[in-house]
Amino acid sequence: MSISKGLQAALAGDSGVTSLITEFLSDPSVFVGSAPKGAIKPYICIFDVSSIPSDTHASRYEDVVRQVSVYANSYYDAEEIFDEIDLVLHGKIIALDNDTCLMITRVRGPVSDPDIIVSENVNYHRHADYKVLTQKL
Amino acid sequence: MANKDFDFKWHGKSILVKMKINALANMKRATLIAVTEAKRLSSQKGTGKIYHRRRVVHQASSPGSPFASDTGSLRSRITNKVEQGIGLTTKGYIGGKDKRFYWLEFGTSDGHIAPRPTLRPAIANKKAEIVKELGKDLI
Repeated sequence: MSISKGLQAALAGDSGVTSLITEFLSDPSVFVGSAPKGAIKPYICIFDVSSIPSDTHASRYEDVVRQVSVYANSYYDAEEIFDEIDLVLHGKIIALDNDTCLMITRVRGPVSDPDIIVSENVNYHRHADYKVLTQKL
Repeated sequence: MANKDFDFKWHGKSILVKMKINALANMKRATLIAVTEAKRLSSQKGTGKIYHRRRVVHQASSPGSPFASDTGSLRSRITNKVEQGIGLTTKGYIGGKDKRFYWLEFGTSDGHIAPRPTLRPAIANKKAEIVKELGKDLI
């Protein structure tokens, strides 16, 4: 399972997050990459930012950054969803499969797009970067 | 009356000024490393959609990879800026004022343009060099 898929599974498996977002094809609207056509807001997208692999004597580490974005119809929805996302991801360790674990830390944000005018805009994009340290034993 | 064999002189202020100047210089070099890397990343050929403009054929970047420069206008606008923060803090910025930097780096609000991170990977790729520059002697 890829790192993004691991994050997707963690978010889609949390009732606090899924109660705030829509469903797409009967699955929670948490996507890896751009949202598919027909997805209805609010939804979550996970994007690749960077990946730096490194090896040590005992294990293989990968220092990865993923951008988690919330697209919503209102500023407050976006903010509320992000609070839930942060509860699931920030400071948590997730087992990806038998020999890999992910240590997740929020390293930037969450921030909203700067051109947003709260009362006028209908597209609200709030995003943050999560550093994921993967350790393969 | 006691002999005055030595004297203490406090150079705190001048040392602090020197440290601030050197920290700014270190930050300037560090951000320049990131700018050079960002320009290199955006000079790579895209792997996304192909656009035809008269005789020019441009292949855009695919989502998730650094933006592929077309005319070179945006790439040439990647700059660095340093400023003195409060106390001994020094702030360094890379990018520019052009809105397209934000749209390409983080994606647009409506989700139509997916992120094409360029500046963040540039920093990540050169992290070791940047840290080395920032850690150079301050005095």
